[in-house]
Amino acid sequence: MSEIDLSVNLGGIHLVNPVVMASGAFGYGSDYADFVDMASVGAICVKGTTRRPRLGNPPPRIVETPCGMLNAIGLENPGIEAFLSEHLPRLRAGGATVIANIAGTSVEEFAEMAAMIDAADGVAGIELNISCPNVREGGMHFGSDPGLVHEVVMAVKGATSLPVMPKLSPNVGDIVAIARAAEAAGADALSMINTLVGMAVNIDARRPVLGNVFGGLSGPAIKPVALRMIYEVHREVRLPILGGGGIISSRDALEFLMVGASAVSIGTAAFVNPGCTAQVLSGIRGYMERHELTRLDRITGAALIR
Amino acid sequence: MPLDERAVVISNTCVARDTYEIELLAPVIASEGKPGQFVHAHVAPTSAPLLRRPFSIYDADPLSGKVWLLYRVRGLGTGMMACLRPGDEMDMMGPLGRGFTLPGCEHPCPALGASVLVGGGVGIAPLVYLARSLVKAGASPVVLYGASSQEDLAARGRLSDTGAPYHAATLDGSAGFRGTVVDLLESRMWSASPRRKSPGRLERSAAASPPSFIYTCGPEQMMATVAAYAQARGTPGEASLEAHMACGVGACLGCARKLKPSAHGEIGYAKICRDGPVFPLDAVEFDAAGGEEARP
Repeated sequence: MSEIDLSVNLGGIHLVNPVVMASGAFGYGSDYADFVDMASVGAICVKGTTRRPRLGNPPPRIVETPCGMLNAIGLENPGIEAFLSEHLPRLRAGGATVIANIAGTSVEEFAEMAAMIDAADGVAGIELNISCPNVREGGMHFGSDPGLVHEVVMAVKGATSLPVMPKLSPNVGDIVAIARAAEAAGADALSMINTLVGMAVNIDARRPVLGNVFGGLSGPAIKPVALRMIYEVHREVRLPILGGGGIISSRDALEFLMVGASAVSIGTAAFVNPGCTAQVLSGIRGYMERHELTRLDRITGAALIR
Repeated sequence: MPLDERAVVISNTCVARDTYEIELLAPVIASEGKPGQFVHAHVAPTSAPLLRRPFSIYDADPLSGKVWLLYRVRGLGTGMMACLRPGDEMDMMGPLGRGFTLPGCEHPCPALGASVLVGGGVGIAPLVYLARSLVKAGASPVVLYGASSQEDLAARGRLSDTGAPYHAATLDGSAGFRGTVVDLLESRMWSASPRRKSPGRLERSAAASPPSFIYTCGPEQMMATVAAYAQARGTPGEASLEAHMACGVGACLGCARKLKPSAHGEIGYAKICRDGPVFPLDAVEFDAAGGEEARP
């Protein structure tokens, strides 16, 4: 049998393997330095970064739910200048393939940040955060309207030569319409899905648990929704998909690949098990060996009923 | 360096009402863990409960490689933890976070004098290992330990073993001082005299002068009162805080806590897991009305 090739071309972003750290789950890499070799994952989507530093939302910011968690961090981050000058060099020195995740408050700001990243050295691609449910300005607002999605993607594509990958929100009526708008605007890949909007109530205090009232639901609880949406989009849109939403095992990852993802992202599970990415990768490799597959594209979309 | 250690359960015993002491073999955490640091435990290899649970190091013995945790059953996670039996295993990331300032460390520490450790409920946990370490360092700490009732005083045996005198306070007066542990602190009806085995015997003594340093851990309201007591007397101290957290290492930014701007030195939220869980007492903005909420 020929050698197994785990590499992926995600719309021009070269990944040595298909397992990616999801944005928000890994910060800028330094917190997990004792636990994870940054070069061992396909790529690291860094923490959602804004033009200026953001304080984030008031606590409490997280609450556990059945098979998941709600978070309302509110894009706390040091701003794009600090990302480029302080964090990016360290990530690169650690051997990471870096995908920048940017969240603008306007179309112009998205383009401005993309141009700043383009001028810097060492970013493999740009993930557009048009789906954060926890910020008032920008965020999910951009990702809920096909016209705005088109506008943002067009503006960013005009500002950078790097691959551009909008991260889609599941909190929409027609995910395919959003994906089509991104494709028409020239997106190179799609990242899906971001968190589902939810809330929890403290019955003793008789008030919402989260300081922000609403939060984004992640973890195994959202996996069926993510699979369904990727399946729908893969059927209608040609772009490669970075799929995620509740992946904790290689079985989960294989399900995502089979409904149309070219690579998978791991978020919440890494909080619980920092070694999760290595285990998922090892499981994918084992599956390929057992089924005598040498390339991942034999798996991507395999479960699609045509 | 923190790590993910597979700890083996040696014993898991109910030591007070809804409160358990679990003894684990975890040699690396036992040898590297400092008082005030915590472990992030994955109590069951399931998706429910999903997240790890943070526990202060209650006690540790580097020689035997044993670590002890004290926990109260509050929800599904701690409920499943109470079902662990000898020989079972539990993933523990740790030691994590910044612990208490101890004599001999890089910072000047007045705790070598008459320090007082004020703990409430299972908040006594990090103070037990702290008391043991302070005594070992040649300090003379006194522990004030508060609970609702005698049935909730889970740490008495282990406290007796630290070599530090301790005094209990119960709200119903069923053991020790009647009232809150802060009432006991303010009453000055305690001393550093070595009546270690007789915590019920209280006396006014020369040691009733204000403590030189206060360490505290417990309910938010209790720590708020301790902080006010310390501030009124200009007494320095440290508090160990608690929060729901996902990652335990600073990546998720979930356990944010507002500090006083002058104390933090920068605009932004401190992260209890990474910047704490121990903070200077005068740096924390306590919520005097703060209540706790059970986890699922």
